[in-house]
Amino acid sequence: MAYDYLKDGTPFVADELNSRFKSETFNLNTVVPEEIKSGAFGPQHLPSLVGNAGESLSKMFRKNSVTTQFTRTLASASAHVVAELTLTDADQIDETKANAVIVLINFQLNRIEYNGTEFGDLSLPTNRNPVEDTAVLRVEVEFITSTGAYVVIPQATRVISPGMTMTNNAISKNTSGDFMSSLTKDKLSHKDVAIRTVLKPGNLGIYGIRVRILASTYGLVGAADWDIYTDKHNITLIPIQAKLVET
Amino acid sequence: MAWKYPKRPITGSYVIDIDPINQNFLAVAEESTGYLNEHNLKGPGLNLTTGEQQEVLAATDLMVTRTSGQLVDDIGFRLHRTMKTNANPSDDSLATPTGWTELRASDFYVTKAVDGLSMTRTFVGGMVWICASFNLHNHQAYDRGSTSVLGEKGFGYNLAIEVDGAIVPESLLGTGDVTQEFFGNEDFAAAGGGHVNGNIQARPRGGGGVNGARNAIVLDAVMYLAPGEHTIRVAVQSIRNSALGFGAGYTSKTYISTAELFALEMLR
Repeated sequence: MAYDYLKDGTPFVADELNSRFKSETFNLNTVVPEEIKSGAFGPQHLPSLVGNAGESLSKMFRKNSVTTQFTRTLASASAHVVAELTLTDADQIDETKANAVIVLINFQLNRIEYNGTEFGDLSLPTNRNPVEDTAVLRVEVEFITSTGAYVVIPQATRVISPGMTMTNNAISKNTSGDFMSSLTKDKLSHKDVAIRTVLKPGNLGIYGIRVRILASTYGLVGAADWDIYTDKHNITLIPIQAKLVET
Repeated sequence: MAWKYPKRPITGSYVIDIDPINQNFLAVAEESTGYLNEHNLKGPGLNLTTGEQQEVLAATDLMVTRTSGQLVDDIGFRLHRTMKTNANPSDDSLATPTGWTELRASDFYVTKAVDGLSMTRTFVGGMVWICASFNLHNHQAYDRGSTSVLGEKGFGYNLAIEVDGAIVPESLLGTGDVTQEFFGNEDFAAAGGGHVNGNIQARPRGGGGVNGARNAIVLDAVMYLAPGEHTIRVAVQSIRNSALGFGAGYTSKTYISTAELFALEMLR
């Protein structure tokens, strides 16, 4: 709605003025069923986080899955791609469109198997046998440039371990088993991995995000493969126009 | 749109004048239609010597605010960020990790005033989304694949965002209730009840909260901050010092490697 200045000499009455603003008044002050039927207000009732309607960056980007389970044999030199979000040409983000992109990443590490066997059967050194949590995986987050190159975001790099649930010796109610041992053998980890980071689009632009799991040379024994299972992954990009204040 | 519109509904008894009507509707109408105004155009600013408004000499003085560094200070969103820029990503075969932050055991939350884990900034006031993302380690920092892994057990953390020295409850990751945690006392642990051959057994000290030797942690909260300077930090509690040593020479501490902390001011 364009606002036309009222000029001196303009004859006006209440009805004429109200009619000019009626549609906008309704739009701003009224919440209609269509807006709340999904549990959300219309954009005009909320702060605009990603720009104005109709602009190329007026939306967030996401890629997720809650049903598909991924498995991948992870040799020391290869990597398991948890998820990859690629933007269309029209949606690609550079510094002329947004000056910050908030990246939200979540996924679940379902389990790790060593050379096709249950984790508890790992041929670890003797004094590591009861220490299941020594397995180490590196998680890297990369952004995709306009040339298709993958660039690691260093501050978003993480290392994770499977946690305490996987056990070599199941605990008995009458004996003290290994630390945090399950009552039954349990090869599942269900480790939640969450990463947040802020990107500043520069000359390279942001054409997508990729999340990978890599084997770490630390914590592995021998060169045999590891099977990695992940599920419930999500990548969300929120481009914003904001004043960036850094140390 | 945060204000009720129109501010003064026009009724039959309303004294109508040109200027109040324009003032009443102009800002709302412009904003709702995405018009550019002084809030999304950069000006040349004030003369630093005389304090007078400077002239606009070039189009770049009025550069539209999308480009980094061109935004005005009172834009709707301000994003504060701090991060570790030199943290080793913690799984390399280095003898010494670089850029890690060591957190010693305490009965309460521990904080560190370092990049990535702490920021002191001046906020305009209003709703702020605070988010911290970091890598929490509870294993011996210098154990890099050797067979000496007796200290390599991680369990029992509460983690939260701290604002001006106060823990933000809604940001808590863990349990936040130590009365619900199981822990044996120190004497119990020292007598062997907590470990056998260096490996923690079924009844260790500590427990509960966030577990694991290496964790990718995210904490966040949306909260109202009063105008002024505030200090935001990541707070880590090792529940009942559960990670503090369980054998001579195997003192396990808490470390944070990669870390990023940001606060998005959502102004209106």
